[in-house]
Amino acid sequence: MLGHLIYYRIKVLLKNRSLLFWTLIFPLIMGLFFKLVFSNLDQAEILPTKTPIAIVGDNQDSQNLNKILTQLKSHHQPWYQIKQLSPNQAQHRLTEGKIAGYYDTRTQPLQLFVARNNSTQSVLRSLLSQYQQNRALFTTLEKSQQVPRTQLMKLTKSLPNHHYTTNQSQNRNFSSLSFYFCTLIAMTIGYGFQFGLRNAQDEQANQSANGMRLSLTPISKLIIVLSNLIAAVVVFYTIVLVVVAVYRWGYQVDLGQHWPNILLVCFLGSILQICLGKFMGNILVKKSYSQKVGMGTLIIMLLSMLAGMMGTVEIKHWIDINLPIFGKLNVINLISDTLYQLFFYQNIQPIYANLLWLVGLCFFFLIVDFLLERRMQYASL
Amino acid sequence: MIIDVQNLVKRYDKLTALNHVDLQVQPGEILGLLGPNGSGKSTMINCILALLQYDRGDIKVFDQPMTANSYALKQRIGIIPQEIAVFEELTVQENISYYCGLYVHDRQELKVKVQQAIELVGLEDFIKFYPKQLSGGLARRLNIACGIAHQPELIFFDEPTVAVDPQSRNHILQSIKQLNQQGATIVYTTHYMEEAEFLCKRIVILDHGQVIAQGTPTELKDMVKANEKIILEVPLLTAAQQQVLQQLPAIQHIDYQNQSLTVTSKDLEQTLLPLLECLKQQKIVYANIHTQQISLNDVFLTITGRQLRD
Repeated sequence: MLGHLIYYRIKVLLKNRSLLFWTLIFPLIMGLFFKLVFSNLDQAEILPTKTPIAIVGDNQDSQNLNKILTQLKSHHQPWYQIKQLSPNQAQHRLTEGKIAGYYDTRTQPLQLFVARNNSTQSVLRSLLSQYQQNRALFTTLEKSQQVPRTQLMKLTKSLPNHHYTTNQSQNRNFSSLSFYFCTLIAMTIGYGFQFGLRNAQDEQANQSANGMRLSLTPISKLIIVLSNLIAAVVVFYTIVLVVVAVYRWGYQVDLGQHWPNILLVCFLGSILQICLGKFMGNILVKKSYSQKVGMGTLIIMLLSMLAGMMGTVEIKHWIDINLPIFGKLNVINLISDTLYQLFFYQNIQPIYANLLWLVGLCFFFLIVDFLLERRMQYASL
Repeated sequence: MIIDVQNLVKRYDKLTALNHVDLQVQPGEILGLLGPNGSGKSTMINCILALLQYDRGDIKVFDQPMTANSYALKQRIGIIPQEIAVFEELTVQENISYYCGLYVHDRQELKVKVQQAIELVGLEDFIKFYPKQLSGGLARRLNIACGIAHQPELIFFDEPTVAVDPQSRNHILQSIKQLNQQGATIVYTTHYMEEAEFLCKRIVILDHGQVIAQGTPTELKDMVKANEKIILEVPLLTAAQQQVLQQLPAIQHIDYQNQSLTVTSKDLEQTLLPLLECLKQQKIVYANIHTQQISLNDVFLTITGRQLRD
């Protein structure tokens, strides 16, 4: 029975032109467009070495940042030339273009001042973001008073040694092209919500005539829901793999070498988006299917923009620093960040937190969908 | 008893969709649920099938309580919903095979039953077509095939001929008769009285969620005292002249609309000649005179004061 249901469900999904357009054709067209527009970006923006930057303030944070920035090297060349300056001096030099930016450590949260936006400034922001996150973690531990003070002191002293240098890729530079394609893959996965939406539409008697007919068959609703989910995951994950393969081997975009993990992230993302689509379909009962698709597509576009896809890296960094929880809940940002970290870092330790978020969200929405869909009788149709 | 509904009440907020309804369906019969749009026909079916929650009442199907988990009962039931319930991405044959496969697990048996369903609804020439390529009538036939392919003992048809061309309508009605002759019990909802008269052995008339009349078509027509109508084409008829006509023997009701005069009479023989004489005396010009039997619409009109399709 499960085989019969899955077989026909796969046929239904594979023959749906709208689903195929948004999840396969549209990402491939966007990818081609990005490739044409951004292919020269990396040559123009290869991260330069010995970039002059400054730190303002004399405290633990300034010392930590100094240590972190000094250790960053590419081919034995330091990334930055760091100077300790007064606020006025730093501002003056930034205005004159003599430094790429400066960190002000006198306030909390720490601030970064830059004159213009390019990859150098993006990396400075990214480093600050990582530092702030680790610092916040230690502050939380300190407040919790569950870690002995001596151990906490050791941890705080080790703050500059965390991840920033040991996990940096030895051979990779910041790549705008890879970054944008990671967001494109995340957007592709985002459009998987349509598979979930279509499943919900066809399963619920209060949403479609097919749902009504299926509800009256001698098959347990759970079996129908499960088989539809399996079929959707099989079809959509295959589509994502095709898109990733075209990006990598067709458009020659470097996505890194951690392929098992890249495939795992795509798989988890696919399940999560299908579950989110089902959730959306089940709570927006009174909206028509096309209205729901329209709303979902707009949301995915917006989330992609907030994840930095449309040249909006500034917004993404602001969210990463000021609203980190939103950065995680924005699944497009979560997936693209994880994929980019897989590209950028040799060591995959930094992506574990993101993987946990993905797994957690998957389980959460699977449970919510189950609770919403187990209903067999309706108050109205 | 195939279906036994006792004291069924279904409310939507302040609206009572079904108001203490009783309904019995006997084995092998075609029961017509007749009523205007919004009278509660579809709600009744959805309650019987345990798809809708209801406020009060008992429902038994095949002498067993019908619940959402009554899979053994669902195996014996077929449903043809009002809206066409097929997948646009599957061909005619695939759609029927998909739905039939939910009931029939043996592959060989499935093939045979799908073929039989295709033949019954006359879609042999369209098996590779997608639903979008079918006309409205053919799509309705596909909708029926998906609901009856597993050869159920009890079939619900919820207005299966809405927006269907006459040829397909005749085919559908003949198919339903054939299914009944093969042993299926049928519950047929419609607001087309001529279909109910043609198909049904027994008819239940619903209005505002209540059963207002039930019986065989003949029994229902007997409820209306008048038994025939005389219809004439009259270009001009004044109110005073209508009053004169109303005084003639055996006349029950006179209706004059769009240059058409309808005279309802208890006894045609008593009415016809005096009517013609009166028209002559009053110098009323008329043409195209013909008579018509009382229909179920007249029954509905008599009971509710409204047309069935109002």
